[in-house]
Amino acid sequence: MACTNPPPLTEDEITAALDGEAELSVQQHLAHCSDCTARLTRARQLEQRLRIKLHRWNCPTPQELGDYYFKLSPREQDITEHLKSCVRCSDELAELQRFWETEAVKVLPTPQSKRTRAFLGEWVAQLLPKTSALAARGVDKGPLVAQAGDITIFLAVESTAQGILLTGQLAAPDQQVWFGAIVEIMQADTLQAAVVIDEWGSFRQDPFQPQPTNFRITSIGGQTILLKDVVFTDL
Amino acid sequence: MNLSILTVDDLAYHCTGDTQKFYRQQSYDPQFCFELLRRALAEEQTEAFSRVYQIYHSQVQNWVYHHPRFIQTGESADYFASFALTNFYFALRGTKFAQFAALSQVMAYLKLCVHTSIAQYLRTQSAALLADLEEAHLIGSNDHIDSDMNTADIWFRICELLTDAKDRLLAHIVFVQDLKPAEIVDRYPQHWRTPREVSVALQRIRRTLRSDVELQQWAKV
Repeated sequence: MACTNPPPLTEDEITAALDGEAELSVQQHLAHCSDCTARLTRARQLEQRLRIKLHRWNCPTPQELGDYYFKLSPREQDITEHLKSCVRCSDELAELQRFWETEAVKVLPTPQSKRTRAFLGEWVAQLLPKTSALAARGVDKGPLVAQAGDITIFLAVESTAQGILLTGQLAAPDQQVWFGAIVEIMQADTLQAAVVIDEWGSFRQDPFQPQPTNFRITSIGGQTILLKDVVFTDL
Repeated sequence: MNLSILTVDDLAYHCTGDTQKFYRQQSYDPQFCFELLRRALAEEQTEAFSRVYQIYHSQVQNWVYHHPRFIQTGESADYFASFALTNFYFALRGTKFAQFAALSQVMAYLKLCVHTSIAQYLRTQSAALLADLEEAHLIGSNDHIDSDMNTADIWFRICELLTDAKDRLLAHIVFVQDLKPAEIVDRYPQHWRTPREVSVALQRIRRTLRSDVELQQWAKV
């Protein structure tokens, strides 16, 4: 394919069009020339893909920057060097400094509306019905199974004199993501307990009372799974 | 006192009382809280961590409210409190706890984790916005990048193409740090005096990168 209205646009004209700064003649050329339009599309894709791929690619993580600030970093020299040329990381460090200087006083929080988590990912888990295989084997107390996307949570429930004893197992394609995640048990908007998921995806909860319970699992990367209003007495 | 004979419940009881005293600016004994944290993190005792979580959750939430960029996230403080406590556990569990000798240091680190959680969220948010932009331009396209070239390879290729150190710096500022020309002039006045100067230099860089066959193959364009 060749430019239908030679001469073809120069690379600088393509750049101007990418930035939305093209002159009228360039815009008219693009409106009638599929070859130059294709060049513009390819240029946009390449630049956009570079921006996505390279975005903060060699920046220390916020936790690494925090460790650096606390003089706990094993990469102190690397990070010092990086900070010389990265204003984003320098800004984050300055923010940490400002935050650090705020008083750690206890104040009553102001209520705030909650937004659906769109960037880090929040799944609402659904309890699955008991399988017919368990019923056929005469097993009526198999684990509860909840599903959130491709993540499965098994909850084995045991009734004790102290309350409900819960053992959980989380199975996910990216199991490592959930290592170290916190499982919170909430009843009537009050935190009852919090435990950590181990490297095999298991967790064990101290006894709690059989009331409607909300579970929230928060991973180290900030992803969350919610399982709402589970009533163990119904099992 | 021999703390090792105390149960987690005993430690949590004393720690809760001492924490209240701390808030009321009364004298308190930090050893119970520190021992509770040590069992939760160094010994990775689930029950102890559960108590730590209950005692410090509201304090962590208050730190979240005080963070200068919390308001920009649009998220709930409760979310960041959980996120921060997760990061805290992950950063200090096992042998890492040995770096801390006093309660005040551990609390300082917990406060740090509030900052890192919010900073991480904001970084992810800005990366997601870039990705959304890409998706919007690729509607109807079957192009997917599936290349052996990793990010470091791509950056090294760019450095090979840009022989001038100032050009490499500008490429880093634009592609890695995502700064706009006006911000660049503001932050790097020793290199560029006007946005126009930045744009001209950038035009040359973009031309060079777009004409490279290796980068074209990687981006499948």
